[in-house]
Amino acid sequence: MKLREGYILDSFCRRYVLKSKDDPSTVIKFNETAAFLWQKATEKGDFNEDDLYEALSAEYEVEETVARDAINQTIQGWTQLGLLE
Amino acid sequence: MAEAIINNPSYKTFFQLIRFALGTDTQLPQSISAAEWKDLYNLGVQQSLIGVLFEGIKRLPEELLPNEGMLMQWYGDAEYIAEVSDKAEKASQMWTRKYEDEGFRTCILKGQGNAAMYDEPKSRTAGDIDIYVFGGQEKVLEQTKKMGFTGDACYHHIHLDLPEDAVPVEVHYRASYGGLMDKYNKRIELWLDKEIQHTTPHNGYSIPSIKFNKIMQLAHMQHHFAFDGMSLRQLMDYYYVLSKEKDCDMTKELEYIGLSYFAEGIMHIMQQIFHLDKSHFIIAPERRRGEIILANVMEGGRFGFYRKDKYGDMNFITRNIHHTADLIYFCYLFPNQYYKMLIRYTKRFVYKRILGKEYEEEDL
Repeated sequence: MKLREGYILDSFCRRYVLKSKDDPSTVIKFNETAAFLWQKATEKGDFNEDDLYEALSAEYEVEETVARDAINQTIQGWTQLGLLE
Repeated sequence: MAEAIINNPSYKTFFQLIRFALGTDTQLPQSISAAEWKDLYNLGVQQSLIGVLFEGIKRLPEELLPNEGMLMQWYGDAEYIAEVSDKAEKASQMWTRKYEDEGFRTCILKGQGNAAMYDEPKSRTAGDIDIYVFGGQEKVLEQTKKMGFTGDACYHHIHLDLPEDAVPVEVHYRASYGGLMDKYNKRIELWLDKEIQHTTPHNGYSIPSIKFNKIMQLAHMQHHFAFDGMSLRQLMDYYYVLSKEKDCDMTKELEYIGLSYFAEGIMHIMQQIFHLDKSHFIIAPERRRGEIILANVMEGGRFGFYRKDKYGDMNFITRNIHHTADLIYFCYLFPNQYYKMLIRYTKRFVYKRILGKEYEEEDL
């Protein structure tokens, strides 16, 4: 998987938002986990669920099923929003 | 009336938030209700301070933050302000190149030059580009025409006709923004003409000296104060100008160019609202003048757009008596500047209302 280009992850007041470079009025709110996963996916370039699980489990103490569930839901959300290539 | 503005509870939090954003005060209210946040946001819009205030909001503890909707609205506005600021910065560089490529020396007045002094330059609400082009009115207008631009020219500048989506541009050939009285206008003009020679390069364009900004922006604020209205954004610009230098008393110069009374009022606002240290003052503050300027700023906001006629409900005669009384009070507080306005106001009243004739406005 690859993230669609043209978005910037921003944060303020412990909130996370994804903004479009072309249309600054388009802002998508992220929770902390989604922001973390977006950052890791950006760093990786071409990524899969295992890459994200590896990154998430290295950062947070979390059960594998819970972590994979969160990753699946996040990826699903990104797909629905057209954030993946 | 003006005293009430400084102590008005709804303004009190707004002024606290300004100081918190600037870092001149760490005091914060115990809580801010949703209704108060709405008022703070509206005041921020009226005074063109949304971006700067958001810099403060980002540092607030969680319990003081506005609700999510308001926070996102503020974030979106601040992002838009940053985008406009970016455009203004690029336009400043582009217009500088346009004239300098043709052999004309230039300098960017106010706007982006002021933004450069802010802790977060992109948080400043940008307006149009004011580019000063050296060479005098005739040569500058001729060159502007040669470059294919037209516009409305006046004594100081030409406002260029540009496409709607372009950053508006004023090409200045005189640095002054005038006092109200001819005698002082001339003195301000001569002072600024001399001082504008001292420019500094900054990010692809030149900016004037701090000393120049202290006088030019003061004269400019007085002009807006007299004719339409000024905003706290202009005062915040001035706060940053003043904060760049210490121990520079300009009392004598200010008296000579007729700006001393207005400057005294501005210093009062700098002290009371922005908590600027007195070592940065250019003249001693004066309370009554400061209070009347601040009242004008808070009532009218940017260019006076938000001002309601406080005498609007009165009949024609009572309303005019009140307006004249206000002007007389202005003449009393700013004795070297407002007589001309009082004369003009009286003349217009006599011509239009008593004689029923058209009154031709004098160019001040």
